[in-house]
Amino acid sequence: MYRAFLILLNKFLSWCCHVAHKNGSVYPGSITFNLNRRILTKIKYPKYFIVVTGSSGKGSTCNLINTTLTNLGYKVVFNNSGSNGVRALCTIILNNCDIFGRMKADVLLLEADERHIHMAFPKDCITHLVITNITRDQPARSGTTDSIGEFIFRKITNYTKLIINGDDPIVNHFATNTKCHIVKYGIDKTTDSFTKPAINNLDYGYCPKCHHKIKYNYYHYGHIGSYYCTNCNFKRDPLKYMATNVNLEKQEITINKSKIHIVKDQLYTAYATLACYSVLSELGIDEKDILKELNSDKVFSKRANSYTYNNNPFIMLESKNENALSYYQSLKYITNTKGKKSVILGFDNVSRRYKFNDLSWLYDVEFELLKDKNVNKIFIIGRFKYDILNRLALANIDTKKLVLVEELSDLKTLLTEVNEPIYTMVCFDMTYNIKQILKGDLK
Amino acid sequence: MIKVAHLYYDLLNLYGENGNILAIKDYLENNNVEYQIDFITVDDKIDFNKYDLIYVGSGTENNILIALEDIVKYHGDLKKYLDAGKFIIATGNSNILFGKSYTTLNKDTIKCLNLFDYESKETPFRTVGEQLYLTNDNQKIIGFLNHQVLFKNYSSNLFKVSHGNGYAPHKNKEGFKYQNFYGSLLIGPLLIRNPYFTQNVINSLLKAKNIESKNYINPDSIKAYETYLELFK
Repeated sequence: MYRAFLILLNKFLSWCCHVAHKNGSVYPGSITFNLNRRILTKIKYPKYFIVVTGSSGKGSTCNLINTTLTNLGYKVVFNNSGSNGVRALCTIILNNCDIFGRMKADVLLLEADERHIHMAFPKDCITHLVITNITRDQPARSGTTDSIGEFIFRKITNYTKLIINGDDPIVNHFATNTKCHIVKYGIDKTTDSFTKPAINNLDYGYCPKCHHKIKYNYYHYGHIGSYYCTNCNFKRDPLKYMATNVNLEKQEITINKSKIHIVKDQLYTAYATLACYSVLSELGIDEKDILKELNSDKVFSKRANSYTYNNNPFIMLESKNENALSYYQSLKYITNTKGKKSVILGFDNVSRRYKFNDLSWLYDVEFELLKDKNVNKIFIIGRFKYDILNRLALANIDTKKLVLVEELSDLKTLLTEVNEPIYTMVCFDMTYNIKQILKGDLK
Repeated sequence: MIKVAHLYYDLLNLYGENGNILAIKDYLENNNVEYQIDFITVDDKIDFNKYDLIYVGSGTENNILIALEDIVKYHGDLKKYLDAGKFIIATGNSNILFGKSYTTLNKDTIKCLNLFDYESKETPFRTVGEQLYLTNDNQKIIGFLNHQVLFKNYSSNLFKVSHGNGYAPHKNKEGFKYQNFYGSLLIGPLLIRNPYFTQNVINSLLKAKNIESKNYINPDSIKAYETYLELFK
């Protein structure tokens, strides 16, 4: 009875949020979950319960899985709002249950916060757990990569099949400590792979089993790549699913000799597509159907927004503060594009989840990439502009390139002198502010 | 010539702590001091004698144990190094290495360098937050705490807490100085963010080596420092 009451209450609160035009992705669940913290253990989950977690890339991976499964005729329940904490998961699950706690779906697909998986679900209910990567991310909340891994695996039993990014030694280490069936995916050497890290802050340099230094055949970025321990058997291989011939310019990868389209010319989308392919294959879906769906244009990615400003392309990348490797990929994307360009960097608040403004992560990001000769001007905005200016100067970026924007309202005037594509790499708060300032001219 | 060692650069490098090396390099360059920076780690043959300054930063729970396993063999060398008046700067949980022992959450107690009397243990909770401290001559220090360690017998004497936490709950002091050892639980680029503190420490080092300093500080780092201080008003 109490379960039925909470389900009805959750639906009612969601309806109220909808009527009041409020974001109802978290609030209903925060009430129902607080009334009974075991409510999610009382649900009859569908046959396939897929959770995607990791420090970055979980949203794009989930979007692809959701779109392809839906197009293949599966009824999928998915938290597409992007809210992925336990209360948001509670909202979406209860909203899709009948009063007996039965979910009306073939697949429950959840993008879940790394720290919240163990809080949300009982043991033995997640059928497939996809882990995209574990990197330093929001350290004020998540601590270290060791503690993130510990959170993810706290309640995972061999009931769950792990589908992991084998290129990540941290994920590999935690996964191999379980008794789960493990399926690894990874990406072969690309034209952008490198053999020596550019900066000395790898998240993982030593073998977790024998404490000897691990070696890399190549790196994709950060600690992600093809690694092995010279002293014991800890290594990336074997991979069940491997993407080869990665061609970001053509937005193409090859899996099992088949060419697959990727939705953006960025490596993270290659990983998302590969993860999606792996999940669908593990669900037993015919390869022809997977390829047909992945190669259709229906799949989408939500990250970058492209506009024009003063007849110049204006591309807004939403970078994640406090996640050096996510930030790195955006920087790499910008510097990989051909021709001259200008960049806008900055933020007013480090996080939207907490009030702390820890700036340490600025020194984990490889801003040195912006020394690229095609980066013409770098406009620095926001409350911590001097910290960013200082960081860029210490990266030996030519100070003539650096434009300190004292007031955000000055940005519009300053940008009128720019005659090349402009990339913004700012946090959530500044995306909105920039759009407001350029309103009318941004098309 | 100033010789700097970034000890366990590939193990103890959490939270942007590589920035501390950039700060040292920047100050020495701006003051026309010749320098050399070596990056040294586990399995390297280390001759501490040849260095004037050692910097060591914080690491993950696993990496601090790897570093600990390696560093204990240098007890004698590091004791001689400190007794010779040479400099060590340790930030974050790397301070564990220099005490007597470290007890993990699994209740394993591991012997440390035993250069100082304090003991440490891993806590099930994290201490996190922005900090404002004062040095003994009332210079403001900004920084961030993010650790899972508790110290016992820690004769904290480097900073007084003005806003935030000390080295343990309800303690109003943080940091430890002995001769030219500077230890603080503050994480991240402490030396970048506190240009005057960096100036003081490096100037003491230069003085000990009879090298003159122009006392030049990068003005952008002062602006950043002053802007951040406004958060505490």
